[in-house]
Amino acid sequence: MLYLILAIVLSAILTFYRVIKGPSVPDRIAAMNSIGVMFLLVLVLLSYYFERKIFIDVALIYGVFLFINVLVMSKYFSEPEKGGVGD
Amino acid sequence: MKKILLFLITLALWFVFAGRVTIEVFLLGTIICSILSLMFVDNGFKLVQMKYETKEFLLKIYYILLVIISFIYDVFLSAVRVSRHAFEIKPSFSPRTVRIKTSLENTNSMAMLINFITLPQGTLAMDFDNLSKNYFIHWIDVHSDDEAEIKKARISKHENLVSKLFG
Amino acid sequence: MIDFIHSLSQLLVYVFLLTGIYFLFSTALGMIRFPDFYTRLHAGSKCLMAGGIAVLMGCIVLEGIGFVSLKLIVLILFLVITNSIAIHVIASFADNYNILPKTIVENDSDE
Repeated sequence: MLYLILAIVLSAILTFYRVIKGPSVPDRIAAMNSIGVMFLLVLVLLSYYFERKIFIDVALIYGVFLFINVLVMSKYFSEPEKGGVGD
Repeated sequence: MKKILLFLITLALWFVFAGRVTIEVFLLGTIICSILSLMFVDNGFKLVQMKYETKEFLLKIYYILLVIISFIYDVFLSAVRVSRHAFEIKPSFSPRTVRIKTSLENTNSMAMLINFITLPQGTLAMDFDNLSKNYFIHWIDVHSDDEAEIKKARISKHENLVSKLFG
Repeated sequence: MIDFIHSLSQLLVYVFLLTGIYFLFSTALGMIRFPDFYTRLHAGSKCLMAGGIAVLMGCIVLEGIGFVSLKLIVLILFLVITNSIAIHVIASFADNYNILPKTIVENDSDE
């Protein structure tokens, strides 16, 4: 079970490359969304590794906050500045 | 009738989140769910636009199960196709953008069709024009015009399934 | 007989988990290697959701029947509804942001 968790964490670290070197803002938001879902799955698998079922409740609330996070970020950046940020 | 239905739904969700069935959990859940169902009885059903009888209601549950099963099957089918592109040495695409006109009337079913376009079939809904009812869709692998017509027919099959749900 | 069923379910759990990890790893590779923004979003939506559903279904088979598996079913339904809305919001935001898709064939979106 531990190696499966380490594989998911490795793929999350590989996705973090797109957050650093994204040419535009929506690239970074999409990459952040996928990192969030990957760590939600890590939380569900950790509840079987430590045998504590409370982590699944934490995963439910984490999913709600991830959705609100994406909505607020795409609402906040949706008006481009005067300097011409596009592309 | 509406109050009792909303009360039962929220009470079932309360038991799922609580995780065990005892007397104390049941009493606390009754108080909270009755307050919630009294507060949201007007706004909640206006969103769902629910105006059918109990016999049709059982038929809707069958359609909802059918929709969810076909949805999960389509997600796996298209994820295999996209992940095959990711492991190629030189990834080769032929993307294009298409617009499709819908014939749906209800607002809920139009929003439901966006879910059906975005996840399965290798498509992605870019934008929606509310006046002329056009979807702007980005395809990932369409090689010729004939293939585009076949895939448009496949979307209209989903559209029939959704229109049975909400009418 | 019971031993056979137990080992079969254990095998099914590992098939589900390995399928999910294959899809998640292809998500990471697709995010790095794909050339365009919209094709990157394809990898970020479909492979991610297939991986998530596969891992959670593996956990349901591992758990059995109980309240915890009900919570996991609620989590699957929530994730399917939520994530497709989030991807559509990001795509619509990028369309307003003047990021044009790199099309090889000419598009017929302006008739």
